[in-house]
Amino acid sequence: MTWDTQEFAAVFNDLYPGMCRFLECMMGGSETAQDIAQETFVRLFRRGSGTIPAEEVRFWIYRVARNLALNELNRRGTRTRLVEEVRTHLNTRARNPEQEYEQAEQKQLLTGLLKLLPELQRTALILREQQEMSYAQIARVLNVSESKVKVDIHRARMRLRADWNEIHEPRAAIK
Amino acid sequence: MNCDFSERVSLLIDRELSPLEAEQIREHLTGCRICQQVEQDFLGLRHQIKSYEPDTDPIAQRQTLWRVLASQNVPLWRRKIALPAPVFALVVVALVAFGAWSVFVRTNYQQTRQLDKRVSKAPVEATANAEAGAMDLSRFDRGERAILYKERRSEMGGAFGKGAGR
Repeated sequence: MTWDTQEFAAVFNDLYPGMCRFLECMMGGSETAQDIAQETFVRLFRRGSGTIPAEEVRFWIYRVARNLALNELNRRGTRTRLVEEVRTHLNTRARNPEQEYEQAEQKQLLTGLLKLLPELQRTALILREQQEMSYAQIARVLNVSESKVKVDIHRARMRLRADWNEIHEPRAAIK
Repeated sequence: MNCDFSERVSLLIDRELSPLEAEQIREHLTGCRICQQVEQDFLGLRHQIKSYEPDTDPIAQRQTLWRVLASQNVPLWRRKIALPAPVFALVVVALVAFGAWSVFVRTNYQQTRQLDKRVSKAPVEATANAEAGAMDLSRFDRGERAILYKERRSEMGGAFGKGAGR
């Protein structure tokens, strides 16, 4: 059954901004993130209305978006490049701290540090902090056990905390 | 410095602990500076991740929605379909096999038609030949009929001969 335009627009308006935020944090860029978010919603539209239970749409859409993002990251072999990007960014920052706005800097730094986390840890943490999903819901999106989600989120936090504090030497509280 | 409770602090801020466990951790937190710092840092990171603003603006969002909706208004004849390679190969093989079969059937049919035409034409030709005084050779097959014909003719010739002699 095809989507009613109003019905689809409501789902889109509800989920699209969060999806973009999730993908940007996951991939570290807005261009590809928006393309992937768009592709995800095209797929949802093509699935038709009623093919996915209403309460499942959110999980389905994040599952699809994550798979598309992973394909894209694998295709570009981004992993190595991202590490280099973060290092470059940190070096640039150390040299010219006054040239960048603090907010943009923090944003860039955060995405850079997130990208250094293993993919499952990163996705689990973003889904928890941004989408406020429970561990059970995250487990459904990632198709892993709840105990794994629990461990991954904790490890992600510890690693992120350590990296963050290392960069902000002498120690400054995370605001 | 580290404390073994950091994982439970993580669970506490995610509200994934039972009320009893949560109470125990809160009690621990009141006396453990390390865990207090861990909780503060975790909450700070949460704030950083949560307050991340995507680069999408409402106009771009509306344009995207429009594109998604418009993507389904493509006429049927302009829509693209994707087939896995093995399925495509199977379809091609099936089409080639069907083509070969139809050519074979058509050739056979034409041959049968030509034979039928020849068979139906034969008596007409035979009659025409007989009318012209020629022998009806179309009735001959493998020589047996020719022998019978010869014998009958000689018998009839004898009878005629006798009649003529009178």
